[in-house]
Amino acid sequence: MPALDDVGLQEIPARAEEIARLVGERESVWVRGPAGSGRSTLVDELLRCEPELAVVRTPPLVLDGPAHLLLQILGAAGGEQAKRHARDSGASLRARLKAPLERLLGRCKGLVLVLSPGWVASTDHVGSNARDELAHARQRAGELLHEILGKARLVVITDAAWTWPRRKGSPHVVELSPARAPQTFLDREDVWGPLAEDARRLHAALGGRAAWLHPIALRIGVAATALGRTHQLRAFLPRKVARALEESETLASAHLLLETLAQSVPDLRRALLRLSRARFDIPRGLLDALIASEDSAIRDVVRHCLTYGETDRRVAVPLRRVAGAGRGPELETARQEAHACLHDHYLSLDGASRVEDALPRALNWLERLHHGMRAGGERLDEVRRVDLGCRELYWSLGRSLSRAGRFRDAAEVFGRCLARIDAQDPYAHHYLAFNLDQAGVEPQAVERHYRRALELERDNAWWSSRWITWLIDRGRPREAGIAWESALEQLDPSGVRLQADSWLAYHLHRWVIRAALEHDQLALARSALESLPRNVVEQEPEIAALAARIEIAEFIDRHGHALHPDTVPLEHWWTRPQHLPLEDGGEPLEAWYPGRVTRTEPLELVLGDPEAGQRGEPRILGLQLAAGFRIAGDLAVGEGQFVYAARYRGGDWIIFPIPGEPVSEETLSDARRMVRYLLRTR
Amino acid sequence: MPLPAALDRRLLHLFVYGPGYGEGIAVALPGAGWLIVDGCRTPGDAALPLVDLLDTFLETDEAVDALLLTHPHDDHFHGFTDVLHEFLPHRVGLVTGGIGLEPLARALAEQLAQQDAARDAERGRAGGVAAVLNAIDDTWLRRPESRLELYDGVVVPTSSPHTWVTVRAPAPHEVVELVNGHAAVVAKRLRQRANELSAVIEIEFGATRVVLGGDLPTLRSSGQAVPSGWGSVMPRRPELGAHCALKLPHHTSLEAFHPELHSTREVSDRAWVATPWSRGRGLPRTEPQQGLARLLEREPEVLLTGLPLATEVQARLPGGRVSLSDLHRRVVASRTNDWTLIDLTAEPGTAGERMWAVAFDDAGAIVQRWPGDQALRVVAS
Repeated sequence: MPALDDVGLQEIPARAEEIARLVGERESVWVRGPAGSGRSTLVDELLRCEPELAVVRTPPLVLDGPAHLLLQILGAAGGEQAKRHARDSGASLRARLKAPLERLLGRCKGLVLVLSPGWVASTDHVGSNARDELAHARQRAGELLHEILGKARLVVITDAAWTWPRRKGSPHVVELSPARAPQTFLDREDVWGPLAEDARRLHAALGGRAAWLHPIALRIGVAATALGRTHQLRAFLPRKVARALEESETLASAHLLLETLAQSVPDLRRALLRLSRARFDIPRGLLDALIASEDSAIRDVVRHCLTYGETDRRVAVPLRRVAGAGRGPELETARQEAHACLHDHYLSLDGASRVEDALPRALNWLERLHHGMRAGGERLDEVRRVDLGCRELYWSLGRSLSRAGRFRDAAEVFGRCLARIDAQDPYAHHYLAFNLDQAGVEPQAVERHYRRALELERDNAWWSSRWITWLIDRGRPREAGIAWESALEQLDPSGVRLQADSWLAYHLHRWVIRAALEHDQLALARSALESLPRNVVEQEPEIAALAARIEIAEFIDRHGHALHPDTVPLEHWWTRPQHLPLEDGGEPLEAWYPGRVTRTEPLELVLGDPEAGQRGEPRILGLQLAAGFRIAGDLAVGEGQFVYAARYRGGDWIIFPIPGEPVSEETLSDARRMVRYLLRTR
Repeated sequence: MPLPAALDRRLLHLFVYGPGYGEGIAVALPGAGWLIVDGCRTPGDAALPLVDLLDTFLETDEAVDALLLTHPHDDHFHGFTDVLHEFLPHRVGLVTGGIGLEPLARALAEQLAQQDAARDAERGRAGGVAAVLNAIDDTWLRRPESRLELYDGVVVPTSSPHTWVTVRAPAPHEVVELVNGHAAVVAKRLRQRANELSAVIEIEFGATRVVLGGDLPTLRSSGQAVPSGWGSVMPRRPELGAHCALKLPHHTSLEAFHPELHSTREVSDRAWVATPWSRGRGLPRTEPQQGLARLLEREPEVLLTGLPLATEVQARLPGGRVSLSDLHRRVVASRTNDWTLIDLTAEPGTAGERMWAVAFDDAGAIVQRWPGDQALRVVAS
């Protein structure tokens, strides 16, 4: 293994000693540093200096994050009180944390809290308008951090973007710098194993330039060189890789290099995706199991370049970002396989069936649940049988089932959360309704729970938007209109929020406009759009697109027909399309008309008059053709098809069909959603 | 002539609205109770004539007995859910043939998907139909007693002791034949032929018979007979030809003509009322041998709520009375000077202006007619 000096972390032991001394003096310390600055190494060194420190590591913040933090602290605190507080009985998170935290700090020399990205220290900017699971997680994580951050003998380790809340005192700040490794690091055979020759080639290509580089950049460089060789990719010849690494002193160019590499080598993205499912360091054996199905070139790159750590292996945050960019069925399978592998590993470490029994090994228990929920199949069902005890875990399980399309099961989980944890939990009420709605069953229960969530949290824009769109969908436009007015009154009575930023427009107005458009409620769509400041409409491309759709829908309402596919904004309806030929057989274009086929035998068209349209006085024309026309490309035209009808001097009409797309299963599935309750009527 | 401030509830009042695209009918039943069939609104504004009418004339202690959707076409549903939720009709009906909403929903989903694949801005209308079906389903679930699946022979209960309201078409097996099958096939079938599902409603009040013909055709445009059409209905229910009022089926199209339904008048007075359809080439057609001309061979006048033409062409016709030839001249004059292109531009009137109301006693006599400001009487000459 490389010595710390080799990778530029030689300052870490001294830093650790200083921090241990401060904690011994009942001080608080905040350590901040970017990826690759040695934060994990610092924790190891801290424990070497002071073995009686308790260490709590959080996962990246998602729904189960607050439960992770709470249960790990309860587990470290131990005792009957901690067991009692492990189960969510409706008390606040802070109330459940308070006494066990005191006990923990009384039993050990200090608490080291390693916060992953996404954790915020205050609820100030989250508010109760939390839209989705991340916002909810942030809100509840903020509650816990609020209780923890005021304590003495605390070491908080974060990334460079995190900020310490001003109201929580002034800790000693320790800044860690990005590590720098010398180029000679590339010559260490013990580091690069079978890729040693690639590392040497990269070293040679770098020459004397960029003598010191970030260790992660060097790892990515070797990975690119190695895969360039094995996959015969000229874009990743050593000199090209070396140039990419030289171009920036930060990690940005290395990230770009990795992204380009992942695009060229899909197997690499799949492997990264598998790796990045692990939220904590994993043993080497588990790493091997995760990538067992990848070919040997990829396995070598993963082992020697994309994971690091002296005992367990970890994946750097920047690599996770690249992994997260992939989509598609094959990647989804890889994702589930990785979660299954990780689930089985953590299950072997903790098979507790209820939260109280899991406390001593809370992290393992929580990771087992996290991965089981995402693995799907039997493992997901195994998690369903666990007595979860915390609302975050019910929420997380419910959302996982929902994402798997198991809406009734998801609804059952949210119902259990209400019955066992807190009957006044707006999140559970809302998602119980949402999942029943997705399943297209029990509309009365859907209505009851949507209403209840809103009663409990009136200023939640997301709850309002779902409720209003549900009413539109169920053919209750008047009630939707009333609910809409009420939501605006509640959320932004003076219009200040809409002026401040586009958050509310994006999460409320956008959905209401879309639902109203889809259900022919043009007045509501127009009214919702008109309530937005012009700059918001212009700034948000999706809202601007909806505004264009409203204009088209109003034209259809007024004049009876669409004359172009909805991809053509109304303002371009009367402009001759570029691809329409200006002459045919040497004869110039005399007239053209956009429109669509209303009947095929004989051919009948409804067309728009571009000249009248340009004058702002749209005119709809009818054309019946039994003879004297031809269809461009000898294509067939179908009823409803959009066309351009063109006439060239002295010639016949020429009809230019605009091809539609075939109906995909996804499109059909979206359409079925609109009548989902009816499809279940028996 | 404006509607009276109050209705004489000893009579049966028929209100037919047709602003240009869409058709809504209200019947104030003698004694008490209302029947609402389909719905319409004026494009560009939110005015809902049937809601306004009920707001004006529905007594405090009176109910809407039934709200019926004759068929799931997008020119018949506007305002349907408003009546549904504001007036809570005792019965809510839709043609299903007795097999529920699912087959219709499957076809509708397929239709929506096909429109989406065409990148079709008109799919909002099909979405509107979906919302109406959802609303009907919702109502049937919440108030099971409101469920009324329409087909031949179904009696619509009313609060009027003097009146019988009965569905006369289509027969259950005809509905099943139309809506069963592969969803994509049914979707295509219904897109072209949803009118063939249209319910026909008969209202009997003493000797007075009112027939609401929906959009039911007799023939397809190909000339082929429609199995569920008037050719099926009239042999089964020949008495429908002996009516005092007929809401003319399918906006007077030639394809909806049937000699026994459009019978020669046997009573002293009767009312044939029609609404326009301002899409494509539009209805009614005014050319010789087309729908209006055929009708006027058998009835001296046709009451039109409006025309599918620019407002300035049809507005303020003297006394609202116009001969077919004059009307045809106006239509031709409104069209383009291009030798092949026809101007189909139509402007809607306001919903309240394009209306006919007719009151009947129980002896089969028309007591009063009230035209909206833009309504017409079309006569042969």
